[in-house]
Amino acid sequence: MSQGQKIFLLVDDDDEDRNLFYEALQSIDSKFICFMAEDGQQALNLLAEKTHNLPNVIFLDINMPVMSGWECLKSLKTEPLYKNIPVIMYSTSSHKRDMEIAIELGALCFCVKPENFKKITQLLEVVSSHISGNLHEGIKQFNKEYNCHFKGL
Amino acid sequence: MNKETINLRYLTGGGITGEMIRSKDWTDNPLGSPETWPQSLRTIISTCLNSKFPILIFWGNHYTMLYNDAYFPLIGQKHPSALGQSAGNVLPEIWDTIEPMLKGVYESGEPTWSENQLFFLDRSGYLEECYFTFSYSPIYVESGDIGGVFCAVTETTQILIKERQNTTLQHLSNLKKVNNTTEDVFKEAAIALEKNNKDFPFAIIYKINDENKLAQPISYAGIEKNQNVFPKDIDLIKPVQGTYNFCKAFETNTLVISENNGRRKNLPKGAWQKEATHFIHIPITYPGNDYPHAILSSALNPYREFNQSYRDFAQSIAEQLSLEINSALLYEKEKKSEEKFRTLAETLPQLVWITDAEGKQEYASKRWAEYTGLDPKDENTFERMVHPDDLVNLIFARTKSLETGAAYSAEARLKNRKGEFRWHSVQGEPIRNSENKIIKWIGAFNDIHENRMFASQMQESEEKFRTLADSIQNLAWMADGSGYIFWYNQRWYDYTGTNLEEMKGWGWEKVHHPDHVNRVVEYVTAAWQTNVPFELTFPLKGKDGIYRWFLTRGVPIVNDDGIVTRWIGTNTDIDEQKKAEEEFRNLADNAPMWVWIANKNAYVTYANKEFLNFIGLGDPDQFTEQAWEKYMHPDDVKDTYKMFETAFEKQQPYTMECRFKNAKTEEFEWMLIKGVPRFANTIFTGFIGTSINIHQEKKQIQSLEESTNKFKNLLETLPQMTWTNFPNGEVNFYNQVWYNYTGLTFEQTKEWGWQSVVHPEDLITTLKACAKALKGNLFIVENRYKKHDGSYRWHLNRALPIKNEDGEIVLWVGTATDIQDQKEHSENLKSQVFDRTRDLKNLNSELEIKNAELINAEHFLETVLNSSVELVASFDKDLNYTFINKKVEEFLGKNREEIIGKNVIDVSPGIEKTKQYDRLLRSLKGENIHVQQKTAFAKKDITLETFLLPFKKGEEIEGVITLQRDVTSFINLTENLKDTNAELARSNADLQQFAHVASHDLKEPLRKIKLYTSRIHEDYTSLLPELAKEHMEKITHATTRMQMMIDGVLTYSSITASREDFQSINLNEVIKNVLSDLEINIKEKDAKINVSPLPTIEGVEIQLYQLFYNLIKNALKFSKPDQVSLINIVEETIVQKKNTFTKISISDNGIGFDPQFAEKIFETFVRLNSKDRYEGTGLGLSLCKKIIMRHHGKIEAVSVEGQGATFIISLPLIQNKTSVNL
Repeated sequence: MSQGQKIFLLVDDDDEDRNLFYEALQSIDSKFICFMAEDGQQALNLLAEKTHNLPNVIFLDINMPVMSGWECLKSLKTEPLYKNIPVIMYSTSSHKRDMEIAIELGALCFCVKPENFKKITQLLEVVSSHISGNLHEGIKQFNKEYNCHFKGL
Repeated sequence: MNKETINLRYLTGGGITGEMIRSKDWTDNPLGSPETWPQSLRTIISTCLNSKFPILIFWGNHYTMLYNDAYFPLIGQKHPSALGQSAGNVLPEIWDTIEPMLKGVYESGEPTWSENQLFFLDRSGYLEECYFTFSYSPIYVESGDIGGVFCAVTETTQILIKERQNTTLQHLSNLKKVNNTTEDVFKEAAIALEKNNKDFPFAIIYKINDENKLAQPISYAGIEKNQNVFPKDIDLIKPVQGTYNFCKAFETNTLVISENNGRRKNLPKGAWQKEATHFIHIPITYPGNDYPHAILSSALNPYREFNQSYRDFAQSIAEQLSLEINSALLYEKEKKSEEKFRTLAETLPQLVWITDAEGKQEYASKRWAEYTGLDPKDENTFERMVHPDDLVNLIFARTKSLETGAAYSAEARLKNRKGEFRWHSVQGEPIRNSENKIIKWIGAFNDIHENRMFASQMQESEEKFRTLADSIQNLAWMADGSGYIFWYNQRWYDYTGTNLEEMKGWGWEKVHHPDHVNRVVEYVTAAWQTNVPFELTFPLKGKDGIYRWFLTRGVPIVNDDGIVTRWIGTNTDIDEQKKAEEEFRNLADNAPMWVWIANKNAYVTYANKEFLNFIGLGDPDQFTEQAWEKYMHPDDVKDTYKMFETAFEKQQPYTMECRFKNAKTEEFEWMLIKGVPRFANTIFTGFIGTSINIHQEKKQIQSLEESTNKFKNLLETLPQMTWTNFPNGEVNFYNQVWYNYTGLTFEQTKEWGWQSVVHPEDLITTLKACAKALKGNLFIVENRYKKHDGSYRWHLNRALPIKNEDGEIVLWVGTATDIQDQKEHSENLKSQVFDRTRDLKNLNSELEIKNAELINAEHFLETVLNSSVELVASFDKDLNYTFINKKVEEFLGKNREEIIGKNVIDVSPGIEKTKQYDRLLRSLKGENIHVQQKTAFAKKDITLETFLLPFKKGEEIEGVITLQRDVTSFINLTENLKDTNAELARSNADLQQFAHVASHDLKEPLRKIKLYTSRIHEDYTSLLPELAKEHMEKITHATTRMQMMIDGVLTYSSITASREDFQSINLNEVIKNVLSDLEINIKEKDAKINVSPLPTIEGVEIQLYQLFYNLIKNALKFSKPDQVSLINIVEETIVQKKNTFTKISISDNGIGFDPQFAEKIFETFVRLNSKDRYEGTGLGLSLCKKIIMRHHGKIEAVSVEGQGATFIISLPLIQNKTSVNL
């Protein structure tokens, strides 16, 4: 892997969402690499194979078969090799409790899956441009800009 | 002889083992048959078999075992199969230990030596503790290699165990011998047993209590006190499971073994890795008792059989302990008797003490400490309290007694706590033990100060008297102790015309008249020898040759050692007197009465004929001056001299009566004697007197006088102050103690003079008692007498009348005893008694009140119990009914008489088979039981709730109270409620689950719809016809609304579900956040919002946010499109029924609503306006209501259609904790 190459990992059981995610990512930069996993267990297996190509960021859905996003997040954060990879929880849920749990378990932030393709693209643009900088600040900015936060529900 | 026999010759002999080797089938043995054995093996086997010492041989790679007759007892039942077997198979249990040793020998050729090696050997069917001393040495075969190991072994098990047992017994017999109580013995015995934790892994000694009812642990060896392996208290009357064997040991007074059977867990293991399997209970008895004094319960060595030797050892332990206990009991008994003595000693008025045989003080009575102010435990108390001048004498007396063992007595001054010395008599007596050896000294100090002081005063007056007698007249002389005169005064030489050379020694004889010299020499010689002062008259020749009569007086001078060192004498010229006397004599001899003259010493120097005839000295020439006393009645002598002393001292005339012996009748006759002092040149020389016989008159009152005198003499000896008085109350006599005490004379205190001595406060009481007594009553009064030093001391006065033969009172005799100490003591006591009495009275009145309360309470209780719906009954210890209430009568269908006093089994036959009976028994042992049980009653199944409560008097359980009630309907109701509750909870949970799943899962496809429609819209807008675009718009709009509704449902359901704790929330902050989040909406509507300051309340932050968010958003939403929106938020604090509420109204100037819908608008999914004009889910206000309800508040809406709406909410400032989770 050459320096500067950006690797994404999306863990999501919904193949439509995976396709949209990939499509959006490719539309930004076709050199971006995107690993996909259908559940938490697959994600861990995949990471174990790619120890030399670890992703720069992980998008993690919550409700998944076999191993849920929560369990996967716990495993990631207890493994010294992975715990420094930023994890963005990526879910349809906008439940406040879920967001709190995400932060407690060590996720970088919580993004509600956008409701249109444009917003997905915009989110990934923000993420990819902040990947080696302040990712958290960037996503905060994004959330604010596109009204993805949950407060006034 | 065939070949085989020849080859096996080396196996000949060797006893049983030899025979076995010969006859054994060696076919399959790695050693092969004996005839193939190498020479080296043969040699060694031959040696082995013929040895009487246990020898074992390991041969070859398999360590095949060969041994001799002496060896096989060491491996017990392993023989004979062990012979020729591989050692690893024969001795698996010790193989781990010996294999490395054997290997070592094989490899290095170095022999081993193990002394008293412990092995747990399975040779008798169990792992046995065995000790061996053995050596392994290599056996070299022909090739020079090592082919086997030679082992000489001897078993030391018995020796070591015996040694160990002896040590334990020795420890026990070496217990500290002196001053051990039984408890000490048990404690030390436990320590001794603990040292042998091989034979006694642990042990507990139980002491049997006095009534032989209970055994309680007194000491522990190898086990902690709180480790409940054995029961704490063992009831000896009622053995239970686990104490049968113990009780059997107690009953039979013999050793009993019991097996554990795994019943008791976690036993202390002592020296071992394994728990004991058996226990023994050894009774410890002492002579003369049928029951044991204690029982030693011990675990047994798990690696030893409890054989005779082990049993003997255990018995020896018991016997040794018995001996120790016996001596401890004796010691305790001795200690008790000593305590008894001390109690007695404390009541004695003397100061009592005890020392050990060497004189070291062990005990002193309280009085001792009170008097001396010293601590009896201090060193050298003796030296500190005894007057230095008396110390040497006393120590000498003591030392002598300590040496000889004889009792001693002495007198010494002892210092009291004030530092004053008082004379005490000191007595010490030895106490001997049964071997007549002195073990202690017991003694007492008795205060004899008053007596002693009296004696010393007498001595002083004697000295005075002597000084008085030392006056010098006229001629004077001095002689040494033997009467050798060495000095005359000048007057002597002047009169006699001699000098010292002529006169010294016995030279004075030369100037004496020849007719008188013999008499004088004889008299004076006697005086020299007896050291008695003398007076004598004789004629002395002057220098003119004329004799003149002189009176001479000689006085001996005594030094400190009581030896007469010199005599001082005087000679007075009495010649004139002498001549007058002669004339007088002529006259006197003719008088019909006695006429006499006495000199200054009260010696009669002249008696007339009448006198001389009476006393039987007819010849006046035979009369020499002498004392009268030999002619007087002995009883009168003392009084007479007393009278003389006073009379002579005062030189006054005197009259007295005394008895003289009539020489003719040999009877004493009363004489009235009158004396008048005589003077020569104004110098008193004596008395001249007459005596008249008054015998007849006197005889009449003689008897009375006699007894009175006798009495007075007696009184004089009493240690108390004593007096006598006449029937009229006048005191006529005091004894010396009175004078010593008051410091006054008879004259000052006679008759009623004693009043000045009585404390003014006590005088009236005393006089009253006198008046009463003089009427014929006993005289008893306590008063204070003034001492010569001005202090007062309390005295007890008693007087008794003395009556004559006619029963008339002739005299009173009284005593006054010093009771100051007792008085002080009793004043103390009195105040203590007073306090105590007052306490008791208080207590008593309290008790009376309590009692009255109790009687009321009892009556009350009975009424209550009888009206109770519960069955109340009580039972005594034997489960006889002692109390029942009416309900029990009804329940049992019997009346009171059939129940009370009857046993529960008689009242309810068959109950003994029920659990209820078990419970009664358990409760009698102290258990509180609460149980619900179903039971059949009157052909119905009912549920009874039962309480069994033991009641105690002190620690003793007296009986059981049972309370029962029928809870059937209650139980049924509860069951129903439980079902309903569960149902409700379940359906509630279902609902929540549904709401959550529905809202969440519904969102997912909705999002997809939105996503794809937006893609179509974005990517294909230009391709779509307008109508399709419009339709697309509608889809987007509908999905947005649907999403909002789903979010609404999710939030609404989560309000029920969430259980966040209430917190302090500042509502101003909440409003601030809401307004900031609604910023865009507010700008859109160009709204003006006024907010008054709001309070801080308890609430859930997110919910309060939602509440105000919805209400304000509502106000914005329903504003009139053509008008500036005004929203006012006003707060008011209201106190209502002790609760404080905040009342907040949110009013707008919007479209308002029809008042008829004022309540309906809070219901879910209610919309008053068309959704086209005003967006909404229909959940906003119902959400608000739900939040308000959860905060225990109120919400209402007021409006006039078209004129704005006001929402008024009331919320408590403080949430009532109990109602939070509604």
